[in-house]
Amino acid sequence: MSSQRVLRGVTKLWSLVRPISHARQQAVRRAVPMSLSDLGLRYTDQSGEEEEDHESEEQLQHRILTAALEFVPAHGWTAEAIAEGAQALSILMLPHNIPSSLSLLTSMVDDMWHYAGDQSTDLNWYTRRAVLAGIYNTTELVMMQDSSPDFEDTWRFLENRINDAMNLGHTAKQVKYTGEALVQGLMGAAVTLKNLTGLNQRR
Amino acid sequence: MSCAQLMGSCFPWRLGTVAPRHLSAYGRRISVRFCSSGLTLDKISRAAVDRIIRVDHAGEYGANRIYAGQMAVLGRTSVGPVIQKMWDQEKDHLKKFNELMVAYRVRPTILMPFWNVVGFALGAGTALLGKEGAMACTVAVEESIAHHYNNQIRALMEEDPEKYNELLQVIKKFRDEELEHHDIGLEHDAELAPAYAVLKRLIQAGCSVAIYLSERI
Repeated sequence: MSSQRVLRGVTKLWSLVRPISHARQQAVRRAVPMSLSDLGLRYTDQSGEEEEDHESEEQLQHRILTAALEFVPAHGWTAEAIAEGAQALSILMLPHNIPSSLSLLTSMVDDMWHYAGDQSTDLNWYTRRAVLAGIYNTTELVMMQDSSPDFEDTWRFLENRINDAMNLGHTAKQVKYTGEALVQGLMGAAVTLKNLTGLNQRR
Repeated sequence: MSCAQLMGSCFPWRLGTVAPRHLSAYGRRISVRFCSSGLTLDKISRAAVDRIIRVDHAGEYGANRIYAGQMAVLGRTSVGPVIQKMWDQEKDHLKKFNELMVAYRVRPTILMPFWNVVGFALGAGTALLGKEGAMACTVAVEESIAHHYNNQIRALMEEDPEKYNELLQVIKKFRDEELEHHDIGLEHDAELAPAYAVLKRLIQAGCSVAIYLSERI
């Protein structure tokens, strides 16, 4: 799977998740007096909406935005709404909520990889999701503190992190190939030595 | 499985039944209603199918590694081609389960690297006992796997044969092929292996533990 595709897939999904984060912020404001499992439920409604279709980008984004906009009647992408996001994050961090916020994170990351075309069925399945979860969390934190126009800093941060992850994958592969080549070289040297000392011959 | 995760995963579970959705003004409400009505059924079946595919995938992967270990030791002997043919069939099985795993979005067991090493070691170790040892290992493992597949077929039939039709066909076909391997093993003097009864008992106990763990972890 090319790094280009993954980068595109993740930024695509990130742009879809953005309105969801936003809706989540509004949901938090309403959910605080209510039970917190409702919060989890509402968030997943939004992401359920996200998962269900394979329509074109624009249509899907439009539908999510429309759904999110129900929750965002008067605000746009204002600083005030983002401040709500910080509060939303802190509510998700309450020990009482950590199991459900973890399961939300894992199902979201699983969906991201699925729609980016991941087909791994071994330990890669776990490492890829762990890496993406790390990227998502750090980028979300950056977004909460971002004050640049249209979140340019956040997008740049995201691209850098994704490039880091790609490089890590490539480096790991190269280390593995180098190791294998080294082992073969050593085996060759051993066979040569055996030949030289005549241990390979049968008298 | 938490309720939230279920609802989130409700949609990908609807294989091949993509209903056209109205625009999202009503979309959210429709989706909630669909999910809540289908929740009970999907809850049982999703968890069950998850486990079934995870453990079967791990099993086929382990069987692959066992045959690889056996070939590494006995590949150049007279019994090499027999083992190779059985190994090729297991490779097909693994490929099929890989596809099913992606299609049903099942998580693989985290013990995969462990089964990699243990399977190879088991295959190579029993092969070092001679060709009868390798055949005894084959007999033991295939008997375990066939028994396990039978349990799964029973469970799926009890739930809903029509709904699980594809999965049932696959598991039945694989069970029949595993039983063939079992018979091939017996034909090639598996019972003449050293300490056959003990070896078989040990290997089957190990398989039960592997199945138990792979279903859960």
